Amino acid sequence: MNTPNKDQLSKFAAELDNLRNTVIDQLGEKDARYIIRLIAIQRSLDLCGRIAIAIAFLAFSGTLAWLIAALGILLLSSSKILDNMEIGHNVMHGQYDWMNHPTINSRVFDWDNAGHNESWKRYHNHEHHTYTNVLGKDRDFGYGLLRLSNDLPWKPKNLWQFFTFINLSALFEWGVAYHELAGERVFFGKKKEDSNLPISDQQLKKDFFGKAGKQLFKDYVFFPLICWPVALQILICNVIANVIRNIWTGTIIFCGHFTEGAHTFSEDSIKNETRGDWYYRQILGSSNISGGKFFHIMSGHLSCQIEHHLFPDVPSSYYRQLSPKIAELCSTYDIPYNTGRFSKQYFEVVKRILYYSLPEKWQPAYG
Amino acid sequence: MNLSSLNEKLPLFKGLNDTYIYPIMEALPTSFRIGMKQTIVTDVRSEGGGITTLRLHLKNASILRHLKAGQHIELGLESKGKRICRTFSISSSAQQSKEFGYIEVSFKVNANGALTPLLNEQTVGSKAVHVNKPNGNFTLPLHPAKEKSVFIAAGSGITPILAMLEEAAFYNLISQCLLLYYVKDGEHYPFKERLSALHAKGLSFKVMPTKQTGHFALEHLTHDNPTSTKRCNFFLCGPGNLIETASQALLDQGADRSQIFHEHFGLPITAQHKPIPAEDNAMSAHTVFLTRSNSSFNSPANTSLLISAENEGLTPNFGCRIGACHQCICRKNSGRVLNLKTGKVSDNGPEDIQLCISQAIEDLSLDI
Ligand code: FES
Repeated sequence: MNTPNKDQLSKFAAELDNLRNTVIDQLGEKDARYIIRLIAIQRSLDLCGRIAIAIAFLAFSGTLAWLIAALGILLLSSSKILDNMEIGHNVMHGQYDWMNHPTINSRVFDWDNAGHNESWKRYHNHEHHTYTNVLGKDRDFGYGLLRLSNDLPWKPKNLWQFFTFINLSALFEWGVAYHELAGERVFFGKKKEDSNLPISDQQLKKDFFGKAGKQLFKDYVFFPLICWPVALQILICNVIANVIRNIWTGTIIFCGHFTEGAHTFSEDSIKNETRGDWYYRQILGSSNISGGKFFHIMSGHLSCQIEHHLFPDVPSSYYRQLSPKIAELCSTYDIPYNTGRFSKQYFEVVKRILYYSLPEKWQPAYG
Repeated sequence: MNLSSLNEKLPLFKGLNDTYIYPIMEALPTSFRIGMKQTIVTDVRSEGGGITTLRLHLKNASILRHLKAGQHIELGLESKGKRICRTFSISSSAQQSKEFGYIEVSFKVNANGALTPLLNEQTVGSKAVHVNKPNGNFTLPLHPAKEKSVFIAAGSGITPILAMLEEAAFYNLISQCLLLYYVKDGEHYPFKERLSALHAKGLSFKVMPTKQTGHFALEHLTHDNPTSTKRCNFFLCGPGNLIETASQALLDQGADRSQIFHEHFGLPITAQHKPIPAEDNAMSAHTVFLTRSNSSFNSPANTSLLISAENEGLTPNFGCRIGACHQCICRKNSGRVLNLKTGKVSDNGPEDIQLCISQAIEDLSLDI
């Protein structure tokens, strides 16, 4: 791979800006109805799922009850996945702010996830999207738990990082919620020195516990209790629905940045970065997953991670049609465009996690 | 008991509505919209002088329960998936509005505006206009403590005053009212018919074509009003300089501040704006009003709102400072901004803006 020179990169950036503007100019009624309808579908799934689970245990017993509950769990977890991925993530990126809608905007929208919306916007929209895969800057790179590059020092805990990864997937929303607190080391007193958060530690903790409490109360106290005689069964179903959502979201996100070909960058390399450099780095640091329309929607179009990283505030429903155009541009400029089937990308992530769990001297040749 | 009062009383009920019912209703092919009330246009008429009045019937008129004559209301319409909202004075009397469940708004089409051309397309039966709760402090005291009420209106400032006069007529107080109305053309001015009807009921009124009379001067008032200043209440509505000169003249005459009620313009501020090329305006400083803290600061040329606010010692929320994280987002009430990232000029109604990439190109009002 040849690194494109300054000149080529600035031409490349101009072409990308052009693509972006054509989409922005098209935004209208159709896009507004898309997100409004999707939210309505998601809310209906949520409601039907919860009702199905309750009825399953209140009106039926034995295997039949669990079969109906399984259907309810399926509906509830799909609702949570839609809410977090295609709706919450994209609305909180400001993709629909142009609608001037009182609830569908990045200022007030909140999701069905343990992560506090403000905190998530702080580190995700800013840190992760600006410093994608820059070691030491992007805390999403391995989530501070996984070693995915030899540029990070090896620690004994990396030996079993595959299991850490499995746990992280199952508890993904809590990883997301705890992320900023962990980065700021609010609980352990080892305060980061260069912290420049516009918010106090107290507020950070308050937000964390406030949101976490709300989520726990809703799924594990309120809904079980209103169906009192079967509270325990409902609680179990809600736990399962949340875990399914966590595994799905975690997996998609890992495939977006930690595949074999996803590059990492040093802090020095991004000094004096131009817009072209930035676009270039976003492409190198991201990977796509190919699939059908339904798959893309269920993954919140994070399966079009490259397009999302280039244009984080363009409505995600355009990523699918942008993808071939960007892939073509990349091939003209000889820039690698990392995409593949889900199984391939997931396999690469697992391989990468296992590979870097060993210190450099014990590693076999990659491949 | 209706839905909105249940909503206020039971937080659980509200939670249920906000989470499930409203989002689902909004997706259905109805004119339901979250955060605003539906209306249906039941009358469209011309008031002369280029002004059109729309009568909007509310399906559920509970938001009009506390309406007072002279208040304004936010109207919203959707265009290309985007909500466009503007505030208008209500020109119908409060008593009628409450009794029949409708409000009337009057507007002049501003070809460069975002909302008035759309309002102008509405016909009887249309359900596209949505409204919010009425608001405002420029209202008529229900039991006037003074002997006489003097109204001074200029141009579109007549709309809230018209509502007040209709209200006074209903309570048989119209003969104690005097109106000075500054207009461009003494023959064809807005609301000519409605004003003559009020005149027939006892309103003393004087049309002042500014070409002949000039802008407000104290003599205009004293000439027609034998009552001593001390025994009057004054209601002023029009451009800022009218309000300033008139209030000052009245204070000099010995009026007390508590006797003077005023409001800038009756029609939305939009109507006053000429299209301004952004480049010119990016070069000069503008004032930014902060409604919640009731303060203001100056935003110099070529500086983002975030930086100019910080230079004034304010501490708005921020993250990336480059328009990526949406942390610095805040509600703009009015005024246009230049988006430094896209180079586009915003609409001048209420909407969310990112402080770090927005620059004032005219005076702004922000909800912080
Ligand atoms: S500070 Fe990040 S968008 Fe303004």
